[in-house]
Amino acid sequence: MATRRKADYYCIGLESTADDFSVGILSFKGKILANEISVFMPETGGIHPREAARHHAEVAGKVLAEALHKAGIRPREIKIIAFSQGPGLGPCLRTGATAARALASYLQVPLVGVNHCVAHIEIGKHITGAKNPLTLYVSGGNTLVAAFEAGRYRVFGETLDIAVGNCLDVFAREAGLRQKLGAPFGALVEQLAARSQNFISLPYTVKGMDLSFSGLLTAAIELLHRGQHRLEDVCYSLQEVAFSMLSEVTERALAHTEKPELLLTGGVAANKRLKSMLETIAKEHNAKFCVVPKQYALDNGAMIAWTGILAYQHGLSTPIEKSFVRLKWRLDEVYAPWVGG
Amino acid sequence: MLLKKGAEASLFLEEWQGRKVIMKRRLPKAYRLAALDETIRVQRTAHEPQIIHRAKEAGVPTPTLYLVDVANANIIMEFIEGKQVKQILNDLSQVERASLCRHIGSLIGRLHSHSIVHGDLTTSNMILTPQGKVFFVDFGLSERSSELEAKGVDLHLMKRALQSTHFRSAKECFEAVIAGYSKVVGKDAAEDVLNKIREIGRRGRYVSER
Amino acid sequence: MRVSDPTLFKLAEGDSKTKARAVIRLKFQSEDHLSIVLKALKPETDKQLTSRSRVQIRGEGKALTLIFEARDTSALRAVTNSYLRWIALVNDTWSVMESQQ
Repeated sequence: MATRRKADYYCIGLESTADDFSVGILSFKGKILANEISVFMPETGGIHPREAARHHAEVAGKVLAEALHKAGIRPREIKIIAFSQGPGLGPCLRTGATAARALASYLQVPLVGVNHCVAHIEIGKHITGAKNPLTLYVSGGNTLVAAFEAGRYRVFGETLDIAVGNCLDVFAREAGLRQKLGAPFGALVEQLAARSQNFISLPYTVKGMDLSFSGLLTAAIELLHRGQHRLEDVCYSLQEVAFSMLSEVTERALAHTEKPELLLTGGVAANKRLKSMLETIAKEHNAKFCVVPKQYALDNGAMIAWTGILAYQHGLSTPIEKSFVRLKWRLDEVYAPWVGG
Repeated sequence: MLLKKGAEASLFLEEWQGRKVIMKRRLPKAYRLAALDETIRVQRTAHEPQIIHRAKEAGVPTPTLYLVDVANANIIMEFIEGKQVKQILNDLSQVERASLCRHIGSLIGRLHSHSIVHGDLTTSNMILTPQGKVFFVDFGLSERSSELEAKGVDLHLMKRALQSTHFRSAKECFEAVIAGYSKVVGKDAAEDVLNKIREIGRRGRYVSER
Repeated sequence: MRVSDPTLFKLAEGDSKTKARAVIRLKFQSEDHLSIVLKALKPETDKQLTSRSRVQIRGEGKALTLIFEARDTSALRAVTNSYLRWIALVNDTWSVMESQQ
């Protein structure tokens, strides 16, 4: 073939699984041109799916315009539209899917539905250079340990009830903390925990490679309301127990799969204490420790765009009429022909 | 000799009083806070022999314990000659596989009937001896419970272990496990647990109100 | 591109199961624009998520007709809001892309 430089193609990726709406633009060669994120963050209260979806619908045009401006590409250079098809919150996913369909039919290009969890792993690999990692994905909506085995991503461990990020968020709210942009609940708990070294015993629940956080959350809230301990000490103890549980199941999965790399991603990946625990484990098992930087560890459009490109290059796309969202799309149901040989 | 360096404990194959034994040591974990680490190791070491004893009463083959040193989180137990079910399951014929899984299911049924949930039902924790007996060897995460939820989670873990390690035959294996289980606990009780497992599988990891 | 004001035809007319009903007709400035709205929304109406409400969608020329049926008025309000918001979203997307040309 001729070596004449061919123009690169681009993919727009839309992410709207939960409380973030984001548009990412990547070239087919993997260059990240834009990754604009708009966070829906009620100061108190939890996220209500409908309110989050309204936020997404309201900001979508603006975020898209900013991303296109940053990327500086022309519409006709866009080859595909990717969107997060699931798993996630119904109203949020449907809003993103609607925008994605509109874009794909406006540009008359293929649409690619992407699994949100797979996207976290793929962008993590892309950014850190990990090839075949065991991944710990920890956020407000997900807590899972996964790796690629025999043609699929397989879930080795996961939460049996709530996600670890949710556990920290609910606790912070109960404690009367107020989050804001740049200082989400998890970071507030981390700051308070850093000011304590008084460990108070809390329930530690590991079942095989799976975890349960609801008992821990209830006990931590009770401790808080009993009023005999400083908030700092409860935060510290909550973190120590929750992260030790995560570390134990991660170590089991690492010992079981013998993967050469340990990849940490998701919103909770920003926590320094969790990072240091996992780094210790990776070292002991001779695995390279890879942490996904924040803007690509949080829910983001770049990860959707990149995974869309990988899927499309392996012949996958989603006909518009079959592009309904998949609220409970499990990681191990995803056909991922681009991974491995 | 180190046999297995696990996340929960390390297993050493040793000679002890002229016998081949397994020394199960819960070594300190550097990542964990010392106080928490000690509590976890001591609790599990003290707890495991009690559960193993109950499992024996339930008629489930388990290793004989020779020495329990709680303070040092150390247990010396019988070495079971045989193969991990994990190693052989994929190589069996369909009929043999179903028969083995039915047998495993009946053993799980006996545990549950005696209010024991294993907490870590994987095929690497089961040893098939040359005589055809199946030993359950790791009760480190076990607990006493007769709750439907606990039993459901226990079998859910078994299902998940089959799916991640024996994905090609996971479905037939799990069905056989349930068949054997059902024979022991009764059809109605098995149906209740099965419904629970379905519910656990459906459970949203996503919560709308946080 | 601007959308003409939504015209409300009927509200709260009930058969046995449906307690509340609304029909919304919107006119678009071009058939192209309408076809994009239709493509974006159709999969949503094909797969109804709850039994609380049902939506039918039709396009004729430049006009879009949405028929909402719901168990009660609050369900009706929720579903009409969702669809109107999505239509506004599609319009925003359209405008952004037009401005790029």
